Amino acid sequence: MNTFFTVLKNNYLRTIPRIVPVMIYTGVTLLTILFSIYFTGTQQVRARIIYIPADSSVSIPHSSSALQVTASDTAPSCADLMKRKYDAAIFAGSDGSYQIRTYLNEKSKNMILNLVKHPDADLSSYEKQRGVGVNVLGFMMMFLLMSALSNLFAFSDDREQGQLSRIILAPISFSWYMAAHMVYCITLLLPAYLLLVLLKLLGWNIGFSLLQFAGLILLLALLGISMALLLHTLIIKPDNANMLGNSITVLTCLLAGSFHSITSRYPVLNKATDLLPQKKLLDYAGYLEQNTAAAHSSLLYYVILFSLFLFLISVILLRKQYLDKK
Amino acid sequence: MRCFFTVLKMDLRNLFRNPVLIGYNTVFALLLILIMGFLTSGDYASGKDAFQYYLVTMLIYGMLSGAMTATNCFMERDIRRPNLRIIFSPAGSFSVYFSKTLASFLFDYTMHLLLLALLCPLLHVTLGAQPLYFLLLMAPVEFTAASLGTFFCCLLHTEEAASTLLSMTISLLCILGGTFFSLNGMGHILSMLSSFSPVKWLNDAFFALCCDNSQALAVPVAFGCLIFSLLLTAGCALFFKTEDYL
Repeated sequence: MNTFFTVLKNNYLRTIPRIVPVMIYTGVTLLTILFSIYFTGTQQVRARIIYIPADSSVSIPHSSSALQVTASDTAPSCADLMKRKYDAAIFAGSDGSYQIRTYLNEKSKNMILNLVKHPDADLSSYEKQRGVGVNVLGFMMMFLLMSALSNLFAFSDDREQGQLSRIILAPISFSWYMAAHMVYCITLLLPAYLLLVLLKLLGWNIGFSLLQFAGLILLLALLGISMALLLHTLIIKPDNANMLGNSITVLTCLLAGSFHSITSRYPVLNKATDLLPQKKLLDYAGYLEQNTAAAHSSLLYYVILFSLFLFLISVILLRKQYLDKK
Repeated sequence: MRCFFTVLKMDLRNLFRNPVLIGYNTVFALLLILIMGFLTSGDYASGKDAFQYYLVTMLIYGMLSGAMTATNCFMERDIRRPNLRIIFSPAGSFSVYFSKTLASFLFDYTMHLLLLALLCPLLHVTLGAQPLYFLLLMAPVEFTAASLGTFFCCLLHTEEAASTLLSMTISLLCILGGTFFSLNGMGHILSMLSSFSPVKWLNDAFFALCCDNSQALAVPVAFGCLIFSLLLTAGCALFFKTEDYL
């Protein structure tokens, strides 16, 4: 127990020279939380079109909450359509016929044509939007995982500089030593949680209750720490491990659809992304939003088992490298 | 001058022998393009358009992330001490930071050209009627990214702080510039913020080249990048302190 507090205290002291990166991670995480709430709050325009009438006799449809119309005399460049500055270009003939040019799929094309004819049409059958809680979780997920990765710096520095073999030989408990690093990592994620508490107290709608958020963030922390531990065990140079870990985090979070729910035309890929723990966590949050989470707790067990599995591999590897040599 | 080339040669050798950096500049970018293309292909009428969009935006993201190659090349733990020796050798301090910029630029540019040579035929993506202009415009962007990395190393003195700050800033600017998804549909404030992101201007210039064959934006972007990188290199000279290495 003594080891635990000493290591913990030491970790905080070692944070001071590295305060800049820690502050940056925390700041960005806080900003993304605010952004995700704002993002869900703004009513999203479903389609932005550029309307090119053949002559002045053609009437231009009015913009609505779902459709944003820009009238123009000239056709937009391909780059504008490609960059989704406009979702579609509509060429209206003087006889009331429409011609549509877009890069989007049939479904969106039909939705846009429907909107042009009836700007206030009911769109509930087209696509369902995610709630604020899932968005908050999804947006902060990547940054929380990345900061868990970099917050294990004390362990990786110990390892790189050969302190770890001394610690293992010293008459102190190795489990408490590891526990201190993990608790340190979790405490550095507290500002994100405190911001959520503050927002809740201010009366903002953040989707879930504070207890639910605490659980979800704790699970994310466990996942991040066990991944970081494995990477720092496999790769001795901390910089390289961090770089690789950041790449993995960005890719898997994008694949899991943390920013934007994903519709792929390749079913095999959908099956593969279903294996990602982040995806399971997001799915669980989705069910939590619809109050049907109790039936889907297996998703949570998956995340926990996944983290435990990574953790066990790193423990076994560490034992192999240090303890068995003793 | 000969001293400078000796340092440059060593830096290049270090870079081309670092498997993590090679992977970061090729495999990571490749995976990002393929994955984002696969994931969003369902939204487009033809899957090729999704790849076209993400090839350009992710390439820009990759080029800007070249700043992290520069920070790693400049202040990695094993390189700091040799740097100190070079400062006191006849080569002088200019060779220390400028050769890192140049080496990272050459390394990143080579890696990204290889990436394009592999992906363009594979995904049937076009670089415009004159692919040479596209490839030429990449050079000043790469160079700016490399000098950005070196400048932040001179400013913050450690690789850790410089690369964290840069990777966060670049990711943020890229998100604002529409690298991962277009921000035009996300409310008035965001699309206004988006037009302030330099990444957006880069996207505009490269998309104009490959979709509309128009070079109107390429020239100002190239000159802007060159001026900015000159300023950054001048900044390196201003902030580079020998004491940081002791």
